[in-house]
This record gives sequence, structure tokens and C-alpha cells, in this order.
Amino acid sequence: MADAAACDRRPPIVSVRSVTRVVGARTIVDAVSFDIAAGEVVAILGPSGSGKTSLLRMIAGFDAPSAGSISLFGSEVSTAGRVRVAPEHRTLAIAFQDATLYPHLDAVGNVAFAIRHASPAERKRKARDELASMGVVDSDGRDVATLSGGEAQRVSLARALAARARLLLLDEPFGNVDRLTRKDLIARLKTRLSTAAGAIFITHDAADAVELGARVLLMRGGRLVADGRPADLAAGAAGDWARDYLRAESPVELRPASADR
Amino acid sequence: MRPAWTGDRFAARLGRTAFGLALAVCALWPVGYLLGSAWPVLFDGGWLVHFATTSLPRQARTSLWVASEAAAVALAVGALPAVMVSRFAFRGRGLVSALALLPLLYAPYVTAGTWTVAFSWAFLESRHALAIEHGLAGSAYAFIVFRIASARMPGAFGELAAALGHGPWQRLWRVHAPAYSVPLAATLLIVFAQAIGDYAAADRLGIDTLSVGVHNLWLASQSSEVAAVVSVLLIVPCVLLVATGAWAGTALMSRNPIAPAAAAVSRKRLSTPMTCALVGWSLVCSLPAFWIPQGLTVRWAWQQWQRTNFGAIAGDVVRAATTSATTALVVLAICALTIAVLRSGGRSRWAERMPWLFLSNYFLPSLVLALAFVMMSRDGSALASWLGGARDSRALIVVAEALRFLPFAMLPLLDALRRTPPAMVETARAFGASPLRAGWVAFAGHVRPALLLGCALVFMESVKELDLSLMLQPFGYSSPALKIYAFSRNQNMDRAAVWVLIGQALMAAPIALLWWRMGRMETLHRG
Repeated sequence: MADAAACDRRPPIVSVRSVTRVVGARTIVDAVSFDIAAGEVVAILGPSGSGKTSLLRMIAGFDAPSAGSISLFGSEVSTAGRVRVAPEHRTLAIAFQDATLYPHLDAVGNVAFAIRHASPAERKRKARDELASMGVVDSDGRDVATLSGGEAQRVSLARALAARARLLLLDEPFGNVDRLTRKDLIARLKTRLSTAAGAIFITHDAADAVELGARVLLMRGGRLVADGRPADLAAGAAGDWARDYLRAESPVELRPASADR
Repeated sequence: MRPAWTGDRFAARLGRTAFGLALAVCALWPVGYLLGSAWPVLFDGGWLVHFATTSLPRQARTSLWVASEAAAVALAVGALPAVMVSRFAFRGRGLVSALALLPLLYAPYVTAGTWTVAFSWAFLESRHALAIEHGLAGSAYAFIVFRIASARMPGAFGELAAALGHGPWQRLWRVHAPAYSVPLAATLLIVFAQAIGDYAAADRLGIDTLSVGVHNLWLASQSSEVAAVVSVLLIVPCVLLVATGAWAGTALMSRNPIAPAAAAVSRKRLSTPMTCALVGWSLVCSLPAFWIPQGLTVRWAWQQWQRTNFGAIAGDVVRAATTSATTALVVLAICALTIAVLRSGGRSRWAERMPWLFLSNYFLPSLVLALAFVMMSRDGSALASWLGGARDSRALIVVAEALRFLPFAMLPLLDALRRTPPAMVETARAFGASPLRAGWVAFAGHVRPALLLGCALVFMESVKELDLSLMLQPFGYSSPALKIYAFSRNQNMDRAAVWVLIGQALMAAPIALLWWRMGRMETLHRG
């Protein structure tokens, strides 16, 4: 994984500028700004209702920001009140927390759905390979209703990875799985992320960010309150609240910054 | 060591299987009787060849055309607003929902009578007008079916496809079309069943459909057996429709565990021009379906009001209302028994599938169902001797209507049972609730809305139902539907208008309940 200094020198693939999202009288996301460099993995952390998913949805192009702008790969894709580039033209892939597998397709069909510009047979073959890489075997003809929570999450991740997108968006991809499955998924994901242009994932667990060597954006009440490496933030680099939150949300002790690298 | 509960479980399974078989016998009783009656003459004298070369193929084609056109109208008028109301937030959602449900107040034979008496355009007596009338009547069902399905459809399906690079048309074809295939199939089944089974509206407009053909053949031959042979021919497409219905009910929609509340959260705001277009479309569609006939009906009823002796007709109204209420209660009782037997999760394969057979009585033209009951209860029959004096009461109408309209309550109930996690009952038991109390607590949230909706529809369909009442009415019995039919046949729509309004007054409470329930669905009908 790229370290922070190297990332700073690369041009940003994601540029979020003073993005605000207001729904009714509530400000869900409040003037958030950050850049993500090519090859960088970013974890967005924060308590429930802090605006993480809303931010991700705006980056994906599902919702327009009320104020501010979002640029992807050097092009402005969203501005205040307007989605300039539709989600299907943003060359990204997404995985939701609840897997969101299409019930009319089997496991292979769901993954093949993300593979484009290939013959049906080729898509199926690639989908099977992708599923195997995520640890799903005997996937042919498997009704998605028969998959366990962990299997469904693996299929969902395999689908996101199969798209070979330039930007990967993962909304709590390990939220519904046990710790052992989570470790396995992170390990598999880690090898794949090394070849991706960039990834943003939402998590509650700071340990996930450490495992994936991610930079952490910490949100609270719609605002971005901290930006840095998890161990630094846990050491108090961004204030007491960020330190206490990260320590409380991580089941493992976060190592100092030097040991983390 | 055998676990202590094995015997109980076996007994429960046996009970469910026995219950399933009892349901199957009840459901197939009329069809079985018709088959039995037709069998001796079916292959005798070349009946089948005779039917194949007479007017029946043409009548079947006409019925299919009418049903196809009606389905297109129903989808355009009902399904489109349903999806928009479910997926988008806009000012006027309640109005669009109310306008979509209003056609329930008009049976196609009433609309046909009103249009043709008020306007003398040749088009209004054509096959296309008949199709539009059936389509408008069926649009309310299209709205209900698509509204429920849409509320359960996660918005993330489309978003995910968009994020993976699929454009609007690809999303429509690869995601939304398969996802909406079940409500589409359900709407087609309902509209086809109503349009093909209708006799009164087709007869009113002089369109030679299959139901009119069966009726005429029966009158001409004066032979129940001959009519039974024709009815048997109708059973084949009916079986195909039941199979399709069974597939639709157990496929995608029921399997989708997403709560309606989840879809409500992601509801997006509709732009002002689109809102105006949608509300305008709903208003325009409601003109021929409700407002124009209603305006004419009120005007005619006003002209007739002074001459109507309401004291004399009060008894008829009460009897008709109690007949419909009894039908709804019988349906409710069968559904309650089903809950008691199937209980949580509805995982009893046989018992769970048997109620689908009741669809055969809905897809069978009501005239044919009536014919079965007429034959079964004729003088000297076992049923007549068993019923005794009750044969000449409203009991036969109630039983026939309950058999015909049971799917309206039973199928939503089965869906609700399937979506009730068994853990809900177990949780209540763990907190000390008795089995009865635990069942009530666990199922109330899922089952009560389904039952209310189903029984409201059964009551309304029973009030509008004509063919069964026409054939099975006891001496001196009358209902709004029978009165409307009698008056409109003689072009006396002004006298029929009073009865149209009486029928609507009876249906006012159920339709208000439906409207309210649709609006509350996202918050109460969690799956």
C-alpha cells in the first residue's frame, strides 16, 4: 500500500470540495473536503448517522450535493444540486452492506452482471474465477436465497471486484459477517486492492482500516473531524474524541505509527 | 433416544397435510363436478369436434383480444402511478393513490351501461370499448399489486446496476423487468380472469365473447351436460393460469426480504414537471373510469330520487349487504383456520400450496362456476337433499362467492405468513406469552394488514358480483348488482343510478380502508 507521503505527490483521483448535503431541515453532510490519490485506500469511519453513507452515495452519483463539488479522475462529476455525470459513466463499482444480490440471477449470474464487453461464456468463466478468488466454490446455479450471510457478502465483493472499476466503493462490506470471515475477506481484498486505482470503504471497525493499510477519514455529525493514519489518530493526533472513538471501536490495540508501517 | 416432541411434530404435520387436502377438495369441488358431469358425453357424438368447428374459436379469439387490450390499459393506468408513488416523494401522492383506487367502485357492466346510454358513439359499443372498461376496472388491481411490490423493491437494485456501468435501458431490461415480473404476471392474471370471465358487460355491448357463447349455448341446448362440456374446455386454460399464478406467488416477490420501510427511506423527490404530468395522467384516466360515470349517475339518481321508495328497498339493501359481509366472514374464517394450521413461516409444503388451487375458481368464468352450483344443487341431487330448505336461501351465493374470491385474501395471507420469521413466535414465547398470545403478537404486524386488505376486496367484489347472483338467487332476493343489470338492460339507467350509488355507499368504507392502508404500508407492513 502506498504511504501517505507518496500519495501526496500523486494527482487526486477523487476530489471532494466543501460538499454539503441537506435533507429537509437536516444537514447530513457538512462542508466536507478531501482528496484521494491514485492507489490509495481510504476508510471512512464514524458513529451511526454521521453522514458516511450519504457521502459515499454522492461520490457514486446516486445523490447530488446541496453545495460543493466532486471530481473523479480530474473531471467534475457533481456540483451543487446537480449530478453532471451519471453513476453508470463514472467507471466505479460498489458493494453494499446488505449484499443486494439480484434474486433473479444465481451467484455466477450476479458476478457476471458486473463484467462487460465479453461474450456470455467468457463472462461466466471470469465470474467463476472471481468467486473462487473470494472463496466461493460450487457457485454454478446456486440460488442467492440459499447463500449464508458470509457467502452473500463474498459474492457481493466478487461482483464489485469483477467490474475492474477504477474506483471501488464499499459500504460496510464486512458489516454482516463473523470475525473469522471478516479476516479472510480482508486478506483476499488486500491482494486485489493493490492493483486497483483507489478504494473508499465505510467501516465501524478501525482494525479493518489498519489491516488494509488505509488512511482514515473520521466523521461526526456530518463533519470531517479527522484525517490520517489510524494509529496516529488513536494516539491523539486529531484530538481526544477521535482518539477515544477509534480506541472504543477497535477490538485490537492500535499500534503506534512507526510499527504500523 | 426419541425426542419427546417427535410425536407432536408428526401429528402437527399430519394435521397440516389433512388440512391441505381438505382445502384442495373444497377448491376443486366445482371443477371436479363439472368434469364428472361432462365425462359421459365428452367423447360421445363428436362434441369436441363440433365445438372446434362452431363459433367457439372465434369467441375465444375475441375474448383473448379483449383481455390483452384490457391488460395494456390496466398497466398504463394502474401500474405506472403505483411505481411512481412508491419510488418518489411528491406533493399529491395521496391524490394519485385515491384516483387509482376509485375504479373499484365501478364494475365494467355499470360503466358499459352508463357510457352507452349517455353517449351514442358507435365506438362505445365496440370490442375496444369493452377492453377499455375492463382495463379501467382492472387498473385498481394493477395499482394495488404494483404498489405492494414496488414498496418492497430495494432502490439499491437500480443504483447498483448504475454504479456497475449499466445505462437506463439496460437497467430496465436486466434489473427492473425481472424484478417486476411477478406483479406484472399477477396483474395479467387478474385482468385476464376478469375480462375472459365477464358475461354482463359483453352481453350489454353485444360482443360475442366466450362467456356469452357459453351462456347462449346453455340457453339454446337447455342441457347442463352440453354446457359442462364447454366449461371443461375452459378448465384447460384455467389450469395454465393457476400454474402461472402459483409460480408468480412463490417466486421473486415473496423471497425478497427487504422491508417496505427501506424503500421509503430512499424515496427520491420528483421534479415539478414530472409531478404535474403524473397527477394530470391520473386525473385524465379517472375521468372515464370514475368521474364521468359518477357525474351521470348522480344526475340520473337525482332525477329519480323523488320517485324512489327507499323504505321498500331498505330490506333488499340490508340483505345484499349481509350477503357480502357473510362472504367476507366465511373467507376470514377459512384464512384464520389457515393461520392456525400453518402458523409461523408457512413451511408446510403441501398445505401451503393447496390454497393456490382456489385460483381455479377465480379463473373459471363466474358463469361456469354458477353452472356448477346449479347442477350440483338441482332437484334430487345429494347437495339439495343435504341442504334442504337452505338450498333456496342465500347460502349457495355465499359459498360460491367465497370460493371465487378466496384468493384475494388467501394469497396475501400466505405471503405474509411466509415473511413472518418463526423467531418472532419463539421470542414471544421466551418472554412468557402463551402460544395463542405469541401467535397473535408475531403475526399481527404481517397478517392483519394482509387480511384486512383481502377481506375488503372480497366484500367489494361480492357487492359488484353479478353472474353468480343472477344464476343462484333465491326467490325474492335482490342486490344492487341484480337491480342495475335489470334496469340497464331496459335502458333505464336513471333507475339503475340509485342502485349504483347504494352499491358505492356499501363499498365506501372498504375502499377508504384500502386507501388508508396503502398510505401506511411503508411504516406498518414490515417484512
